[in-house]
Amino acid sequence: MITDQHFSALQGMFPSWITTCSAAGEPNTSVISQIWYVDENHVALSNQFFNKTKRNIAENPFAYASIINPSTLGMFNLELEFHHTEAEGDLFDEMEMKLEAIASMSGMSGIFRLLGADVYKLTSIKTFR
Amino acid sequence: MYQKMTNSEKNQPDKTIQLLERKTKEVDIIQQVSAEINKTLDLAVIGKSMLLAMDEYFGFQHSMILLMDNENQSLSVLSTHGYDDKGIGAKVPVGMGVIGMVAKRKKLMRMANMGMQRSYMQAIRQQVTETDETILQEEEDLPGLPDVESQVAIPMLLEEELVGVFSFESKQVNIFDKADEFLIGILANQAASALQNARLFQLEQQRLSELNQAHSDLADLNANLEKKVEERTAELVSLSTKLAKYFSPQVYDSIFSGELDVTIQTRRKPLTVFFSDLQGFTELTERLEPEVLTEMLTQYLTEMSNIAIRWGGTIDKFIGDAIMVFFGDPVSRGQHEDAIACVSMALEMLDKLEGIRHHWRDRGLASTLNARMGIHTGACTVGNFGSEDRLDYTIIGRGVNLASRLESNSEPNKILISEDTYLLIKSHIICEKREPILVKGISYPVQTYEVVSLIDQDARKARSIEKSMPGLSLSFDPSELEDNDTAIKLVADVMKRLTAPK
Repeated sequence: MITDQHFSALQGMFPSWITTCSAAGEPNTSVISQIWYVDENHVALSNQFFNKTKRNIAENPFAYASIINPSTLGMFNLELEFHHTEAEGDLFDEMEMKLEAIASMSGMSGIFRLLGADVYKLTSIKTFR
Repeated sequence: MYQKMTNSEKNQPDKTIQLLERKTKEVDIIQQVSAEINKTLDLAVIGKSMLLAMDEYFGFQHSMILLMDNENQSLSVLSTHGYDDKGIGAKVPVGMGVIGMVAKRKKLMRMANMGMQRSYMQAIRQQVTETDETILQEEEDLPGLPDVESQVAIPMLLEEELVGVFSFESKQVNIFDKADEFLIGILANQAASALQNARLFQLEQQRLSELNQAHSDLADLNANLEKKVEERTAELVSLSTKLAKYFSPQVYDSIFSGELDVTIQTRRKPLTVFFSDLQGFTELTERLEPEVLTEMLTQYLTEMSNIAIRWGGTIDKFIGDAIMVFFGDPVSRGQHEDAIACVSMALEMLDKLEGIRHHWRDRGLASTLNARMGIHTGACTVGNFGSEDRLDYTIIGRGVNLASRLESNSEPNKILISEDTYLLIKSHIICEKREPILVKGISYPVQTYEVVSLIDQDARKARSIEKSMPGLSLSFDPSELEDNDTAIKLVADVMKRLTAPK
């Protein structure tokens, strides 16, 4: 369950890692800018480009993520299972809005299009020391 | 590895105290801002004090309030706090940056590490510029901290309509939390209410000024209206004066006083009708120059109508040189008086005509204007005749024809009247009996009389005797006497009886 102590690690201060595995058993780890807090049992990943993570999840829904608390540099490890994709609604809007806000400041308005918010169910969250 | 007991659990009492302190601050700041809003309607003043209070209570060092422009294309900075460059009036296009996106989506936004995200974007931009032919927009220079890390921006909404944005910035990462969102949200609502009040006040002021303007316009209009009415009245007076020439004054007065309605309606009345015609006028028209003729005719008709008006006649019409006048409508002084007035008028016209003839004889024109006149008293139909568009106030009937016939049977410069008229006027006007005439439509011959002159009423009284006593009644009027011999015999008989012994 995600609590107060994990929030700062879900703000995108430090990049996060996500590890997935193909049906054939080939693992892949990607660095992503942010894992988003949805509620105490769910997180979301932004889906902008078709990549390896996306392909692996389509074959095998389980994932493993690591996030860093920027003030303590403490790490949390999350066990995840893909749940569904949202292409509209509050979560999607919030993610899309922030993406566009930053993009527009850099003169790249409309170039990054959020395709969807991929929602993952949290199986466990552990503090790593 | 697992964390043992969390810090938050250990510091539970401290945390509660902290929370209480924060809540107290929140209440204080909300009270202060409310008081400010009640003090003034100036949103800039309210905004300034809000931002200042946020710094005092919570240490929010950089903040600004932006308002939506009229065209809803961009926001303008209304008030700032904690910036080197005041930046007031600076613009943020809707959809641009954090503030622009908040305005576009009407949703709150809280950013925690913008520096990192921007450098990530910059890196991509660099790559896109090098590898792609896509032409990128210029980077926007937006009001705010150049090295901002954290930002909370909250839309100010009035009934779903965006009126502005509240923005707080910090150079520190991840400085704002959910609790800040809540407080800033309340302040944004208050600011929106204040803005609405200010707008309502402004609207009220505008209405007041519009009302004043309308009032003054109305006053102007009234002044103009009076002038217009005067002008119009003058026009109407001028028009009706012109029109008056086409009507008999009696008819004109009756119409314009409202006594006589201009509709098709007629009634039967006893009238005295006068006709006059210039004898040999057609021949005269061939002899004279048109200018002379016009002058002569105008003079004649003018003089004749003046006389008719003076006697109270209604001038029915002029037909070339002929004049038709009647007495008894629209005003009547009684049948006797109307008939006497009519004959008197005719006598005066003859007098006047004598003068006119003299005038023209002096100018070398002999035997010019000789009129024949005819008068008859009888029942006629009088009123407005004609179509809906063209009405003529006139008289018709057998009496009118008879008057016309009398006129044509008259001697030049004489007045021929019917017996009906004669009986009404004989006590005032001396007439001589003439031949009866036959008139089409009248089965019996009409007895006629020629008017001689007015009776001098004083002389007549001196000559006549009107006495009455028991046993004797004497009425003697020499002008009425037709058979002198019989009268002498009658009086002699009376004398003989009176002087004979009883």
